[in-house]
Amino acid sequence: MAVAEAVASSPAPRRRRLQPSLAAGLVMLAVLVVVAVAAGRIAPYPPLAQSFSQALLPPSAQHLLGTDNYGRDVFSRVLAATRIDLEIGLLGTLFPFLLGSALGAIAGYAGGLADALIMRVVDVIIAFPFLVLVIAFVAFVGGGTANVVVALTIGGWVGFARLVRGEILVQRQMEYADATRLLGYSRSRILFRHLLPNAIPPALVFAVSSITLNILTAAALGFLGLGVSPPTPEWGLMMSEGETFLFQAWWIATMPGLACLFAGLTFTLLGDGASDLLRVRGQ
Amino acid sequence: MNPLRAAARDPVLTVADLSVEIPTPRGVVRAVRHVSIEVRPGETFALVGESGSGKTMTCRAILRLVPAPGRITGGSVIYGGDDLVTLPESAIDRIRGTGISMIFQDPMTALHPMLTVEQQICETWGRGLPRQQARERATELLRQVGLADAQRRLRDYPHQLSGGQRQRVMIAIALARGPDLLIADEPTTALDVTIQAQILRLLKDLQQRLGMALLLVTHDLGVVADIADRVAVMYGGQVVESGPAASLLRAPRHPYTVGLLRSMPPISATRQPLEPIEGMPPDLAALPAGCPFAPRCQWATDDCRAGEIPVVAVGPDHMSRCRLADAMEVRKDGEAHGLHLIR
Amino acid sequence: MIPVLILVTIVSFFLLKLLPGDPAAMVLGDKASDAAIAAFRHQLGLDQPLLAQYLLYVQHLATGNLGTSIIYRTPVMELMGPRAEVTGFLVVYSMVLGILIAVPLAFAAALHRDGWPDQLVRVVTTIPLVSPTFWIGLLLLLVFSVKLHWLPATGFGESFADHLVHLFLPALTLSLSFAALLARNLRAAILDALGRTFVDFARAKGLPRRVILYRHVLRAALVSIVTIVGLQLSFAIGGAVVTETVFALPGLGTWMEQSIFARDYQVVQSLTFIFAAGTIVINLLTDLTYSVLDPRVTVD
Repeated sequence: MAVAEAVASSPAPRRRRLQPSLAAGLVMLAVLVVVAVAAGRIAPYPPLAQSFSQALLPPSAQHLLGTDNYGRDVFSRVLAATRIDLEIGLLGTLFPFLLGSALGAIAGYAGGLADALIMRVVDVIIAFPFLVLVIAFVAFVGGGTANVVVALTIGGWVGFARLVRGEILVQRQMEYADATRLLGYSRSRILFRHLLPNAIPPALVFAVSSITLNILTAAALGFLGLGVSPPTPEWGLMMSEGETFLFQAWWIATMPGLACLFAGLTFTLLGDGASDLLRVRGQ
Repeated sequence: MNPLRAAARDPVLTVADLSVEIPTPRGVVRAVRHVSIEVRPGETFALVGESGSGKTMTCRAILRLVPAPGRITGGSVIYGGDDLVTLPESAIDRIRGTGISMIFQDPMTALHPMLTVEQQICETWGRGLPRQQARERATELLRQVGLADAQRRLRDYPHQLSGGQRQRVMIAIALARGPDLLIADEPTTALDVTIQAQILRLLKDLQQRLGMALLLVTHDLGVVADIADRVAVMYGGQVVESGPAASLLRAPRHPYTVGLLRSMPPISATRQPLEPIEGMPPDLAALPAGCPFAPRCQWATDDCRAGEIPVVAVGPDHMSRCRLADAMEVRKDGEAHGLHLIR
Repeated sequence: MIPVLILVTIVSFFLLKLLPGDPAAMVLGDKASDAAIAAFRHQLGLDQPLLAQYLLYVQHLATGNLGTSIIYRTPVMELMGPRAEVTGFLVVYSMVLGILIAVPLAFAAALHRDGWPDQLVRVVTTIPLVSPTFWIGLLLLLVFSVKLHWLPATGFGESFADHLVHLFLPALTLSLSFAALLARNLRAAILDALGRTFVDFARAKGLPRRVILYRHVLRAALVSIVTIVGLQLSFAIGGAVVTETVFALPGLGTWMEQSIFARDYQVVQSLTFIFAAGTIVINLLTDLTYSVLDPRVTVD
């Protein structure tokens, strides 16, 4: 009976999923980076080159993913857009990681007023739906890559802050922190040499997973017309432009989404692989 | 109940040559090995042993509740004319709760934390019984198990009750459909000492009133002395000795049983040095050939380590799985049991 | 909850300050006369110290004055009703669909642990979690509306039944990432529950398998459903904004986007506040639900 079987299967000996997901993720990451950097050289057509005679063509040998309403090659545009979305995704994670980890460490280690203050700010930011906060910021400040990254930072640092703060709090309980205090180490030395190195790895894993979210958010902003402006190729923007032509030329709206999925999957696999590694190391 | 009268009727449960194996990464664990016991109607049968001796797994096997990947690999469990080992799952389901019922060691984890006492009792009767009648029956059950203020208790959740109260609730649930046999797996281990005695009294009381048989699993020989009619002592997955409680405790015929008696504080007040049994319980995944107790037995011979030890009858209804059973004589030196080998 | 709410008002208040240039001029737009701008400045209290401005803003909020839409020339409060209904319907509908999808998947995965249903569920649930929500919406729109003509592409419909039909695709779109996350967590919760002693005792009682699964196991795992709903609600509201855009639904999300492009700033500010306030309230309700589900939990 399935209930009986499910009830008592003892924790299965840890199967080696380390290799496949991490390996696949790394390969995909390599592909992304190469495309992002060398899109200009790889792409068969210039992404901005218009040609009205070639408009709305379905995927073919000449145009792998078809053309859009301006006759631009969709494949080339998808490749060119990789750089922008990847940039936003990575920067939009790097800054929250730095800012959030720093504030989280301070809150966790210093405690008291600093902790209370920082956590209040965290509570407020969490109260806003992430996308709404980002959209609101961009709405009032303006679009463009830089503003989007700032918006992602404002919304994204809180996750890291809570994580690092939590880790620091746990580490503080542990004996070796007391031991180093007894030895008379200065507080900052304790923080940087001992507590942080243990708190950072989970934050790194969280960062990798966040990249997926930020890429998707960047695409969402582009879709809503709040990111970069046309005619710059950006996945979300392309999908938005393509929606009008969903009936006659479905490939315009759907192909960039595959690229998005590819990028999202890359970092999710990397994140899974990284967290597996972390667990095996006896965390 | 008069043991002689009990013996005259057919046994409620006959376990014959039962074996249970559990595959693990370390190897196959032979948790139960060729176990045979017989429970007669209306009697209290105690299954005694340390943890890891196979007593809990034997009980689970009786009700076909061996957790996967473990499985029954041999033997039979005869109840009501059927072999429970080979019956289809649906048939066993009908026997669980109605014919044979079981209570577990820790009532806090055995009861569902989010369902009320009433819900957990009444669900055993399913849809068949209308709400109001079910509630009345449940209240009556709770009174029978000695719960004060039974009606109020119905609406409580397990975490609102004390340990003893929870155990009573579990007993009530187990008795809800009037089983012929109640299996109680260490029902008092998780309770305070004072409550333990109460629960044991309750079980004995219920058993006699309802004419039910009780298969009691315990590691405490004191409990055995208190309420058991017959006993089986388990070690290393095997039954090493079994017989009427009185004679077995007074004149044990297996070195392990003797060791157990010697390592427990005697019930009388005289102070005796406790003698623990040297060594460790066997690794059930890597059992030595021959008697499982041999490594710790001071009288073990090469014969003991050679092959399967046959069962020897050492008295009326009293058996021992020891090559030296016949060559043993137990004499009491003062209050302690001395095992003397007669050559 | 109250302190957070206050802080939220502070954040909303400062949103307008982010605008480059004079807020009054930006809100009223290019065509406004100087007199109108001056009057508006006075109305917003921009000629007063910051603290006074803020208190004025809070006072407005408390009395239900959420500003006025420049485009529609109507108070935001009045315009909100029907649009909030659409968005609310969408979010609730998507949560319900998500639960309906996730529960069977979670059970299938848990009861056949490591078997093919489990693997399949793991793979299938990955897809919504790494794809843009709106892309999934576009795909669904393409297949079911454009190509197959089974379902309408846009609009809200008149009657309740109409709503269910019109909002099915959008709600499905929104539900998928929630369902994916829920299925995974629920699977773990079910496996955990199955390993607990009360399941053994339930079997020893002779309870039928269905009762054990759907009363005992599901009840124990229910708490995790509520947790995920609570966590995801915030994301769902954000996702609703995008989803409404894909399907051109007349809800708060589309309105927000329109207002951003039309530079109808007070609307954007107020909607941001509403979304945040709504999230806070919903989180509170989620906490309350815990105490209903698990009798061991007491309400603070």
